[in-house]
Amino acid sequence: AAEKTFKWRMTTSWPTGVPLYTEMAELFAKKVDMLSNGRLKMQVLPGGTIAPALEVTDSVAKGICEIGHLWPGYDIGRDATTAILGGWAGGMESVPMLHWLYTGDGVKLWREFRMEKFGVVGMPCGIRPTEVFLHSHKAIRTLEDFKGAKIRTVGAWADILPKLGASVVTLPGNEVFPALERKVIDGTEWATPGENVISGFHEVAKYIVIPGAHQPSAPFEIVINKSKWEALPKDLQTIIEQAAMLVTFESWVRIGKLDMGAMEVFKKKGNEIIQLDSATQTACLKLGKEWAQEKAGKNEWFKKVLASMNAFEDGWAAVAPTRYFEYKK
Amino acid sequence: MLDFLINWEYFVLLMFLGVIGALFIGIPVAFALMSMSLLFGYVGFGDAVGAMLIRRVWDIANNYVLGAVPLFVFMGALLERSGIAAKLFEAMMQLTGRLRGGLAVGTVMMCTIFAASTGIIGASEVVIGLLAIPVLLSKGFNKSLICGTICAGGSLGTIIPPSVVIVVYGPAAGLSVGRLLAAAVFPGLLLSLLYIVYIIIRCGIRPQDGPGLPRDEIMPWKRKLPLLLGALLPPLALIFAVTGTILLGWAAPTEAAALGAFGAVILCGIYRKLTFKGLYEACISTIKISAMIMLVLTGGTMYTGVFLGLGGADVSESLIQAMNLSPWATVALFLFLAFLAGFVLDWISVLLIFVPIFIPIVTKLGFNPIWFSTLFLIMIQTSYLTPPMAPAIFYLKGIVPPEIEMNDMFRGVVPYIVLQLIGIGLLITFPEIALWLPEYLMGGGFK
Amino acid sequence: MGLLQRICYGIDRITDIQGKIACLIALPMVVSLVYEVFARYMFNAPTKWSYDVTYMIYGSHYLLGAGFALLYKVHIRIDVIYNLFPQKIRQVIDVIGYIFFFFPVVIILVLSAISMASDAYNSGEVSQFSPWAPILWPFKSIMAIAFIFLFLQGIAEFLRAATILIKGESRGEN
Ligand code: NA
Ligand code: NA
Repeated sequence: AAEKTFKWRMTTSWPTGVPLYTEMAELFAKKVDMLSNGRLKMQVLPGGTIAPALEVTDSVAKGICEIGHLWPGYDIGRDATTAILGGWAGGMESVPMLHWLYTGDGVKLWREFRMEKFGVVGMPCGIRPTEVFLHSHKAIRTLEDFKGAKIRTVGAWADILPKLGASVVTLPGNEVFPALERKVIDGTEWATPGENVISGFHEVAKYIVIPGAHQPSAPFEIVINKSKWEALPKDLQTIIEQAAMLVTFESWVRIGKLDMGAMEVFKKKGNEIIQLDSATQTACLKLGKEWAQEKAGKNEWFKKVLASMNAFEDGWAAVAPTRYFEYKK
Repeated sequence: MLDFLINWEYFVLLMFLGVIGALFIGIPVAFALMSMSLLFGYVGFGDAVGAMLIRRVWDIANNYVLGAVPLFVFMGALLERSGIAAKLFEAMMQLTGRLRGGLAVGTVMMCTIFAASTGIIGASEVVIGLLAIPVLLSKGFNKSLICGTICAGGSLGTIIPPSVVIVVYGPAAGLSVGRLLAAAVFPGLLLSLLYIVYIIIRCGIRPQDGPGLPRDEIMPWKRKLPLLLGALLPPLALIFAVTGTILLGWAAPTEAAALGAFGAVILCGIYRKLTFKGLYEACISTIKISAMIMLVLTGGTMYTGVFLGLGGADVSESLIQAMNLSPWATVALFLFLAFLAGFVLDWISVLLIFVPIFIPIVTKLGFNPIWFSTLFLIMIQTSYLTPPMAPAIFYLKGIVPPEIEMNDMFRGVVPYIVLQLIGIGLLITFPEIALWLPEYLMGGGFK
Repeated sequence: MGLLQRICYGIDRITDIQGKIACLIALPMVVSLVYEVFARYMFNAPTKWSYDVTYMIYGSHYLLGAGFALLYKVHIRIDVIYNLFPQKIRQVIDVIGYIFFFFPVVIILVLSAISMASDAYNSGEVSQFSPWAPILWPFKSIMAIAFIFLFLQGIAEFLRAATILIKGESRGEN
């Protein structure tokens, strides 16, 4: 007899066409289709069509769709632990982050946390390298320059940024571009260089401030409805786990490649690239760590995940110099 | 052939028939959309359908951008109730003088100004409609001309930047939002110009449709000037202030709408028309009109979600791929499909279904994707006008006096739908209309 | 007045009062947004709360208007064909309309909204849009309450339509 086949709906937080949609969500669906010989097919849907873009986990838990792809930090309103799983100002850059996820306790903690607190099967699926710190009308180089700057951001960074003297403006995603164009805001963070080129921020704001001290790396994830997961044969479960890991690595290099193209675009356009000075970078890191310490006080899972991350990062600190060449700086 | 009927993926197409049937027997639009979403959603989502539908409501209810709708409605209701709107149009009529249809031309211009300040069609259509319709009726303008003008003028907001449609469209097509916004400016103004030309020609031929002022009612400049200064400038200044605060970057559109509402209160105060009763009555019409608009929007969002969740996009894709056409025929087919889909689907469905399929093909055939996108965006704007799923008509229905009937509205939009197609024809003939501005603005570097 | 008429009248009163109260919340929304613009430009100090306050008021406003709009018959319908039908058919459509095109979906929405609000209450969910992060269950509860008002007004409208159909009256129409 023919083996049972499955057709799943995957809701995402993304509009169609952006790299998070094509290089993560769709890529994952294609891999699973290929590895399972067509036994598990997924229909990928943009955010806001069948489920709210920012409430993917909730929608999957309720059974509106079998699977979802999101940035964990979108669940910060339900549990702040998701903010550090998604990477934040005090978190690791993508190389150590990948090591923590797949050789440290990352994936294991991730799965336990999602099941215990949200009742879904969650695992990393995709990672973004460091973002652009700001697309800006103001040249922000040092801590002094933050004073009075009106910056759009969300999540943990919106909590932290005022401590640097900037004011945070809250805007919905669709309004960010027109707001930057018309200088309602002085600057905005968004995503990596390669992703931002599509949104066109570089066309309306001259300065591009790097590196993304607010977001040194950003893991993404899939969440799966518990009963749908349990209804899958063991081999399809394994295929999902393997495909998710593969997509994490593949999205990482694909976005890196997009970033290469983007830097060319910025150069041609005549944008001025500003490197944040090291005092500012350190200040961001320190504020990020403090923010996490404060949140950890009230939340057991947060404490556990943060401790695991911190321990890993300390261990990694000894490895970093073994890979550092002064002449390649 | 039977395969076609029993393949359950095509089942989704029955959704159209269901909703069209419900609309035509006179079920309120919002409830027709919602109940069909429940019925078909149950097939697709099973017991989770309730959770799914309420999250569609949630998505609309927490949408900050849509907060501009009640604010603009309030502004319009207040200006109308206080009589400021009527004075504004009286003065405008003095300005256009004997030009037949002059007041309708003025209305299109106001719509264009408003379109440049907001991307939300319901909001701008309702404000201008509230202000203009009573005056146009009292001056003896043809009812269907009034309806068509307000619907088409109101829909300009989707194409003239800023536009929510374009901001969603850009990433879906993998094209720069900035370039698309720049590319839409002149096509949007072109459409506005076409509307004006049409009104002038129609009223020139048929003065009974849109009279100018009789010679003896035209005031001498000595009397006209104070009227213009007193009645025309302040409300126009208010509308410009709303637009201006957005264009100058002082306020996001939702905030500018609030400034407009606040400004209307002040203006009523200056004209000594500010009473608690007037304010309260404006609040009452605001909640009625907002609930009416937003519930239709909510129903549309549910319907879209169910349609896409049931695989509506896949069905459409497989139908398109079955055909094999020459490049220009492909472009024509694509535009025709978008036009047809616009009759029964709301804009977000049209966009999400077709853009990911069309853009790669069009680009591969060697056409400029930005140019094609402006054509497509005009089709999306047209979908607001084409019944039965015609949001522009729904919103209008909510604000017109009873003497205007649905038939007037349906008849009224027809010439404007033709004008849309003429606009598309002009853009195909002269692609520079769309392509010049983005190249001029974004071709060079920063200085 | 018969019992049915008294029920309908009572529901109408409730809807009318809640609508007339709800319509006033548009005013604080104007004030909050105007304040935000001034705070940002005059004092360079955008508020933490304006964003959340705005959508919460806007969402509550139109949802609480749903039943009110039903009472005043402003929900749009395409009446071109409807008006061509004889009166009896129109009365049948009105009754059937409520049974098939109103109550099922509105009841589902009431139940789902209650479940959504209680989830938010139990989990202590807060808004993730802005750093202010207000709790969400009050707003989600208003959503549920608004659909209950809409349902109630639907009962009144349905009873009236059914009475007219059964008793063959046409006075009730307006
Ligand atoms: Na616009
Ligand atoms: Na349409």
